[in-house]
Amino acid sequence: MTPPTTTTRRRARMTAQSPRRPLGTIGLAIGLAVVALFAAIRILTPEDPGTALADAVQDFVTLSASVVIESLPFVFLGIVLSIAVQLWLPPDFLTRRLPANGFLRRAFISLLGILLPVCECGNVPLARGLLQRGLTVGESMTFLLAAPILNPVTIITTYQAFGWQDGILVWRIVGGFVIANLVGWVFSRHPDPMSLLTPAFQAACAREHADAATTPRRGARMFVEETSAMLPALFVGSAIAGFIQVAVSRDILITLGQNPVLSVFALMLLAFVVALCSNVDVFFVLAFGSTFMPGAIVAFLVFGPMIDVKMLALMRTTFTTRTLVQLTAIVALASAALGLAVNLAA
Amino acid sequence: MSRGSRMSTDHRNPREGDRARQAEGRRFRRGLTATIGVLAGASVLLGAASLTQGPKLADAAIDVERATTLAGSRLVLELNQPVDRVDGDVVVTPDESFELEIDGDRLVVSFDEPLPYDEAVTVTIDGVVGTAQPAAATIEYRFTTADEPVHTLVRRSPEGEPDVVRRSSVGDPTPEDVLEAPRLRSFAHAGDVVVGVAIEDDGSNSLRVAGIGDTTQTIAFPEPGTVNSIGGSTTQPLVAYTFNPAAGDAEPAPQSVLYTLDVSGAAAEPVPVLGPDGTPVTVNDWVFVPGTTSVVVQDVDGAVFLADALGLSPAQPLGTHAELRGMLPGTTDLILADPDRGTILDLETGEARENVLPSAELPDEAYPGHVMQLDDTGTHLLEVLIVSGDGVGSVATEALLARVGEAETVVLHATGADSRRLATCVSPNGRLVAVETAPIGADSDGYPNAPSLVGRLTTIVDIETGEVVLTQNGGSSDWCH
Repeated sequence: MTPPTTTTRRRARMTAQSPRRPLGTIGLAIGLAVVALFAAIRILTPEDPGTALADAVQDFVTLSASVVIESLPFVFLGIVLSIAVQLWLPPDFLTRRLPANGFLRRAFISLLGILLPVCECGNVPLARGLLQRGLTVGESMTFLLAAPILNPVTIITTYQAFGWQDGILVWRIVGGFVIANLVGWVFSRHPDPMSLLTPAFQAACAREHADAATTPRRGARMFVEETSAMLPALFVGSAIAGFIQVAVSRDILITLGQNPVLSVFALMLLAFVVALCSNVDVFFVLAFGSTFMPGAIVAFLVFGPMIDVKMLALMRTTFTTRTLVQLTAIVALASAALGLAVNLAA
Repeated sequence: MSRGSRMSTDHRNPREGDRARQAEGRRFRRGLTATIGVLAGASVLLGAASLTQGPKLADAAIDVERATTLAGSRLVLELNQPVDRVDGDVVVTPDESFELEIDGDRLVVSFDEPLPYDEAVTVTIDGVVGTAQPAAATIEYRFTTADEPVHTLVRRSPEGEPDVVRRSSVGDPTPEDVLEAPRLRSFAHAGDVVVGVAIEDDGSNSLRVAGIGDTTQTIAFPEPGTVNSIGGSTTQPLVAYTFNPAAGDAEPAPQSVLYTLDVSGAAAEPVPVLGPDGTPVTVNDWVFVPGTTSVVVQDVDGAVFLADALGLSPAQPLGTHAELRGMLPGTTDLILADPDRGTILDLETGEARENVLPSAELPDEAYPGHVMQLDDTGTHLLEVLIVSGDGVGSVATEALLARVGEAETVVLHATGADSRRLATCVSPNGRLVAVETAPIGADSDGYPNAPSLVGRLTTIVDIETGEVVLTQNGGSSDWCH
């Protein structure tokens, strides 16, 4: 590839940025507006909020805000790690050190979460950064799906909650590893992996490779771009999670959970809806431990960190809708099969 | 782009490249479809297999300690789905009477009577159908009930050694000494704590408490006196005793006041049991109510009242009766006797019903003695003395122990010609009886106020079969109170 002149680079950057800048600005504005809305609601809420806000609205605000508050630190941590990877990790650093064999390579990548213990919310920007540093789309998917489960924080919290009870911890680790590698293998066979990515992210990749600005300026720009992409998605995903939790009766979920087959799908649905970070989801599902079968718990703990409404919104910044549908289908079916198998053996 | 070189390494001409790309596209779609298909198929198969499996046991809970001390103890079998019905039989091995209740996703087996000690119990429920699947399943659960300690007092001071309270158990007959003092009058236990009544040099009593901490505690009374009756709760960390102050010059205080001792904490402090008028009363007899902190007290005038051992609620009068015959094992049923009738009073509901005991089938030379009722049908143990003469002035006696039911009278134990029976005590679950004997002609140990015989032996007998379960040196079994 012929190195572009300074003028060409600047034009290319401007061309690439022109469709994103308004989106990023709008996204950031939406995010700030939502934060301001939450803050205003909190400030204006009287001591007895029941008179001012209907219970459902209050629950919606509380649940949505809790997902945002819980996720935000990890999102920023992921963004910072992502920028660090993009700025200071040499382009071929990872690719040179990873095994050449595809299966071994993905198996190794799925264990990277042990070194980068970020919850799934932070993994999306980190995966975007790794993608720009030489990982293939399939490999980045493997990392994205495996890292939230195969990291020390998640493993320790799961052990604290369940110990070795019913093999929940073991099945969570094994299930997370196998499903992540299965997805990676499936998408590694795609003839045109770049078509799995959104045009905006492809443009960002192209811009990244054409960017010759100084490191601090590039870092600042990356931070703005990543937060502009991530925060609106996080806010929208959290709002959807809060809305569904208010709209869908938990009693219905629990009633479904008494059935050895439906319980698996009920808890997967719950995981999809509540959209908890993998570091804390185990304490949430612990409350259902006596009601639901172990297979349902396993399905919740495997499916939730990989796919939920918030993650889909975040991943939509990177992958096309078609790709996400295929990805979700594989993860959902594999998680369901795992949960049903555990229930059958339990 | 380095990634681009890995993703697209096609150096063929455009048409060949397109064909190859299309082939790769078809290969990807086939792989994707196959993966989704296999996973969907696996899910369907696994789901179908789950639906044909029927309910499964998810968890089970039973308090094996309470199961041997209280009637109505519950085995809760939690299944992985709500139970619709039970079509099959329920079998409990060994045979016990029970009730089965369906409560959502739980099967609750309530045992009508306290269970035997150290017994492996298997509960099998056939034909359990859940609400999720039509398939029936067999639910089986096995548990082992708690062992019961057997305590005896071995008086060794006549041989120059300190007295000991010796403990073994139904499941492990190897005895160990749990409390030692120069001279012990009696004892009681509550859980692992053993409280002995020690006889001091001046003849007055003090309490020795073992099992709280590493050392034996001594509780001295504020004034000299004697402890005439001591007993422990079978379900609570409580011991109670009556204390008689020594006669003095001062104004006479109430005699034989009942005190309770909470042995759950580090320091045990005696608390007097107060009568309905809020003052200590002179006690004639008393008994703990199993499963509660209550105690039934009869004063010297025959008035019976129910008091809280911890003094948390005022005493409730239960009327005046001639005799307090204890509690039906493991229940809140109080047995009362009057000259004209017997009564069973349910302390939980306040319901009273007439208590009629079946007549024992005894020979002419038999003399009935102490009665120990086992259940509300009137089945009881009866001490019997058989007196036989040889016609020339010589008389021989034999002490028998009989189980008297509505259908039959069965001799469970005979002391034999060379020993005499001193006491008979039924275990808290009503399944065993401790028979205390001593050799004919044994000397008295000469203890003040509480003499007994040297060489006492306690034999534990199964009330159902008459088999001897355990034999241990010593006597004064605290099962009697």
